[in-house]
Amino acid sequence: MPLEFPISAEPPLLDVRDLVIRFGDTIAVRGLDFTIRRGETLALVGESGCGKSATALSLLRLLPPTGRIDSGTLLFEGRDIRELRETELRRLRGAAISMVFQEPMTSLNPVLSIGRQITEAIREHEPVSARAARAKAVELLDLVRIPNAHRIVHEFPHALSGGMRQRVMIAIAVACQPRLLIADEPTTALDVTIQAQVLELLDRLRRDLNMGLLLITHDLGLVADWADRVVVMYAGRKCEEGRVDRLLHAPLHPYTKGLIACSPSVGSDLHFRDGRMPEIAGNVASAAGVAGCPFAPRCASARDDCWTARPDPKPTGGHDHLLACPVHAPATGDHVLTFS
Amino acid sequence: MTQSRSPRRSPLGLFLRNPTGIAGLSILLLVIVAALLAPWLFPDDPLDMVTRPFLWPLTDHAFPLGSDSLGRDVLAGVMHGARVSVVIGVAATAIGLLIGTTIGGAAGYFGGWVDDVLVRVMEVFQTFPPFLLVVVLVSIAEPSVLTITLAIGIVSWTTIARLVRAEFRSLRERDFVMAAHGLGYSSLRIVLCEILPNAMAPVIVTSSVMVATAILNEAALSFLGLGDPNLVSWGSMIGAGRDQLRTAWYLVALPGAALALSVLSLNLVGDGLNDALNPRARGR
Repeated sequence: MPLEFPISAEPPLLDVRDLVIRFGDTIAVRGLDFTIRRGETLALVGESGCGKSATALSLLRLLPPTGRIDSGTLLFEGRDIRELRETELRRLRGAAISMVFQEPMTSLNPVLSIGRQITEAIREHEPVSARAARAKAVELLDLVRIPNAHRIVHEFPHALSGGMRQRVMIAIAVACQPRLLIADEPTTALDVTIQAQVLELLDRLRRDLNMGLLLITHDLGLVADWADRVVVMYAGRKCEEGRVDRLLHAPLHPYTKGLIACSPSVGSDLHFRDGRMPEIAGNVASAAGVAGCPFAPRCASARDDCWTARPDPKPTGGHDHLLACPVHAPATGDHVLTFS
Repeated sequence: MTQSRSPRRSPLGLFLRNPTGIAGLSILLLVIVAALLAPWLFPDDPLDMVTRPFLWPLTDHAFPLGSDSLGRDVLAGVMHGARVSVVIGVAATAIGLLIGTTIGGAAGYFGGWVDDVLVRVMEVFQTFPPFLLVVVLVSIAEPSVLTITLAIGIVSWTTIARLVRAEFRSLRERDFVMAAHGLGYSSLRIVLCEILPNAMAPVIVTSSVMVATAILNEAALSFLGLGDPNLVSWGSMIGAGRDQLRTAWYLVALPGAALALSVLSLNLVGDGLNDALNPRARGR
């Protein structure tokens, strides 16, 4: 797909093509394509169960035993992650690709001190002395803005709050300067006030370390503030992809429109006292067994052919915008204007 | 921010503030000291006849606990018996822990057919009454401290294996294990450095009771005359004294008291450890 990178000749850091993930008889992800460049934040958006987390785990080949990657290629720096052997994978995990998990409260080992957990992660991938690793652990805690880092390294996880633990998780994730950081709903378990701090931290680390950042979320507010590009997923497929400013201000896919309409934000006129909050009727389970567009059962503007023909994401309107909806695609000729 | 948690409550600190634990630990230390001092205080073989038979306790300064039917020093016997009990109790438990943790850990971590096979093996061992199996194993081999220790270790591992298996099954699903995989740690490392330390608390508590059970098993074995014939043990002393139960009851009562106190102390220590190591009591 040459249209995806018209600007940069540099190959993308991560190039996922036609990814299919299956859990038993259920297909979680069906033919997903996306790319991440160095230093770029890509947001993967969609409601629960649309395959976001499965996609993230598949990038580290950490799917639970019931799940497996059925087909597709996961090119990371030109090598297919699917073809790596276990030892190569272990060298990749935590060093080249790191992941920040959703639950900071339970993702740290309760019986090991913070310092030990960071130094172990460093020494797994870098041949440094225990003393050097210790010093680096304090440095990393400073980097993620933890006050009294030299004291906190001796603490155990239970002494830290959720926000602090997530910072520690981030410190561990970036300990070996990964090229790609996957953040799977990194702030879902945190207070709203902490959310912005954590994302600011992730964004600063992305810039400083020139990492690609895959931000998995269902919070469009976060996407608007922190992502460069967005991929909107529905039932394991991509329905729309584009730059954040365009996609959020001029969404084309009815699902994206619905998601944006459903996000209450401060300053908008939405208030539950004034009437029903907007919602997308139905649920994602209705996509099962639909031969055509998976969103058709919930789509107000579905035509007869939506039920039979599966729409593929197609370049629409320029600026790398992709849309998987023939009904809402702007009329041909439109995109010529947007190139101005 | 760090929550205020003044003063830091380490498991050791909690244990030392627990009267049950302290009582148990004191008696246990007494038994261990007796075991350590025995060869210095009584360098001669405690099976030697050193005085006239049936000397009652507290009648002769040289033999404070009296002598038995053959004129052997009861105090020397009780102290040397402590050595046998401590050595066999600790060593048999160590063997049980090693086998049980390995098999239980493998079954719990890998699951699937590995789990199925190992659970069957555990069930086979559990269908035998443990003491009967000890008797059978010891009578096949020559009775010695080594064979008795091995026999008791072999019958006691299933308790630990079941415990460790259950812990591992729940721990391997925890987020921090997934996070450890995400950092590129090997399975062996995850088992040893991430999962095992989290499973240790109940294992430590159970092992204190296992030591007590091993001591009782050894005593029962010696009582039946299946113990090491060259060593004096509390069980063999009770066994030898039971014929004179009506005339010289102290021959059964003194080693019996030593045995009861040791087992009690280990149970108290187990309770104290349980209180100190129980995650819910620790206040996360």
